[in-house]
Amino acid sequence: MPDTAVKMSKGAKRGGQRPPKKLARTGSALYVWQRICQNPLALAGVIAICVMIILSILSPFFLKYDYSTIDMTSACATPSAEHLFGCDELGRDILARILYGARYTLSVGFLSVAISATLGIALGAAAGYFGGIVDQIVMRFLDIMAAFPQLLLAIAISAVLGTGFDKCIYALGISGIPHFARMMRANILTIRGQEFVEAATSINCSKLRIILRHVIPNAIAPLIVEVSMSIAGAGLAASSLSFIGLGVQPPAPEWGAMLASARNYIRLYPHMIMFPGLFIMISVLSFNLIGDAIRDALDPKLKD
Amino acid sequence: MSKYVLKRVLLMIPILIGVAIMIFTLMFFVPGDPAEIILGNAATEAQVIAVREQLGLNQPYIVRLGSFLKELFFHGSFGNSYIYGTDVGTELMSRFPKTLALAAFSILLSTVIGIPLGIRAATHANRAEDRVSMFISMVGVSMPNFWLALMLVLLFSLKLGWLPSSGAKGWQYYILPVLANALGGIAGIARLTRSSMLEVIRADYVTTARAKGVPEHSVIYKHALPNALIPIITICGGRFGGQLGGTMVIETVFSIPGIGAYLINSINNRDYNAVQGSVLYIAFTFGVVMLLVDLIYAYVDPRIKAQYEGQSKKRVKKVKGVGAGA
Repeated sequence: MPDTAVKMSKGAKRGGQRPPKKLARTGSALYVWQRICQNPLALAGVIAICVMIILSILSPFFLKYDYSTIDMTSACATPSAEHLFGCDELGRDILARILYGARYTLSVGFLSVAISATLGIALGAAAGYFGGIVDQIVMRFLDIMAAFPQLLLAIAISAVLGTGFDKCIYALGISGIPHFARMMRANILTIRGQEFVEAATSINCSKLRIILRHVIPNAIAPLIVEVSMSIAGAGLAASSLSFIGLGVQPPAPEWGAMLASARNYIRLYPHMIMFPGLFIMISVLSFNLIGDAIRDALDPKLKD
Repeated sequence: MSKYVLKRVLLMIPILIGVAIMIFTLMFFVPGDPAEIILGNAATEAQVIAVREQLGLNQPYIVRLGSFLKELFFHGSFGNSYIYGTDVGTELMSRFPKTLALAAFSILLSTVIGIPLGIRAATHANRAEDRVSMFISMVGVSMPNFWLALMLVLLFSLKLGWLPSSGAKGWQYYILPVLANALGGIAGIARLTRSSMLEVIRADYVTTARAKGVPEHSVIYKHALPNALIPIITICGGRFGGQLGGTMVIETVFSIPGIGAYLINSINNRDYNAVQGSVLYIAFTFGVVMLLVDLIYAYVDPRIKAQYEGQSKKRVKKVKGVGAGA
């Protein structure tokens, strides 16, 4: 119980006079945020992501080197004071490339999950709410899509769409739909039968009001965890796609693509593969930690 | 129970057909003319037309889909590779054992290490040991497996020279790929086992067992663990199925001639018949594995078994009740 421990130690420092900080209503956004703030690891994740976004946007302004400037005199230079992370095979500064490349990984993560969450939630909500034939059609289609491992589906789709930043987003976005749709449908089905919906009906709430005020907010809360975890997964999948030559293409400093080209120099210049992978890991880890904290906050069963 | 098995197996058929139709349709929209890919750049117009005619590429979508499905389900044929002219099915069959070995050993290692770690974390919940191991496993889940693979190659092949870095000529070639592949699994399964165990440990029957003086060791391993393992089976099965399709990145790193490497190679060569074949092959295997997992799940979980066995009993009861009323 980290939160009470923190609270108690804070309280103890002030002579035990101050009552523990009051938390917002369970399940509200504010409450989730308060829980994240109490979890040092999750807070570290939030900070890491924010720092990465800010550095990635500002890096062209404060870094000495541009991410795309080729300088053959410093090709494959090992890390030094001049080039903190060293240089790649064309003498491009790896630090600049990694910071710029955060744009790709993070935006692929956010945008592809935005696609799969929006479409998945809409499909799942439609299937769950209307039931009957709509449910049958949607669910059978999703059954077929779920017959593919997600990365395989993404690879098949990008084989058709071709490579590139936008196509990578579509491929990952589409392949993530079934997961969200199934969860949303299951949530809607449980909520539809609960007492508070019945109560709302009995006090003559309109159907629209029931859906918007009662069903959707309750069905979406558990999906927030999924969103955070999916961003982590999508970032990982995006770098895998780029690594095997699909997804974002080489001159662009996407981390997976950087690893793919650095692979040929593994014997002599291991620093070239060290850093991009480390940054993939840090960003994925951050989203996972945030997701974990949100789950703890939303799922009272796992609380101790 | 046999009713359940039959139902699940029959439900599998439309899904397989659906998967085939979906992949065919996807590949139908691939830009580029297969005839030109087969013949290469030097082909004349007449040759291209001849090959198109020969492969039936001029026919409408529905006709081509029909003949594709017929070939697939009645003759078990995936067609020929555009580039090499070889039969895709034979190629996949010869590559399958390597992918299977990689996936099977990875999942074996993941469960053998992951489950005990998870149990230990759960029994020491919220102590330093638990927190540290859960943080490490979170790092493990977040680590890209191809990067870990490169790091392992760097350490064990290039620096220490203990293990080969590529190929698949013997068991020692599989050590690094399996390690790289299994780490994410170990971490994931450990996390899942922990949360599953924590949920079970708070159940009433565990409290009962403790209350009547059952030794703690036996409470954990005899009362809690079997119940906690039920959801883990699904995850392990899902991971195994996913591994069959997901080893492709690892296969490329270690140049293991498995199905994944074939798929990626085919995509790069624009050999779309081979792409279609390998995607189908992996999806079918995945589907079958998931079916098996569901059947095992039903076998292990008494609740599902009871659902199907209960039906006939209920009917008997009803008849009895009616009889008593009359």
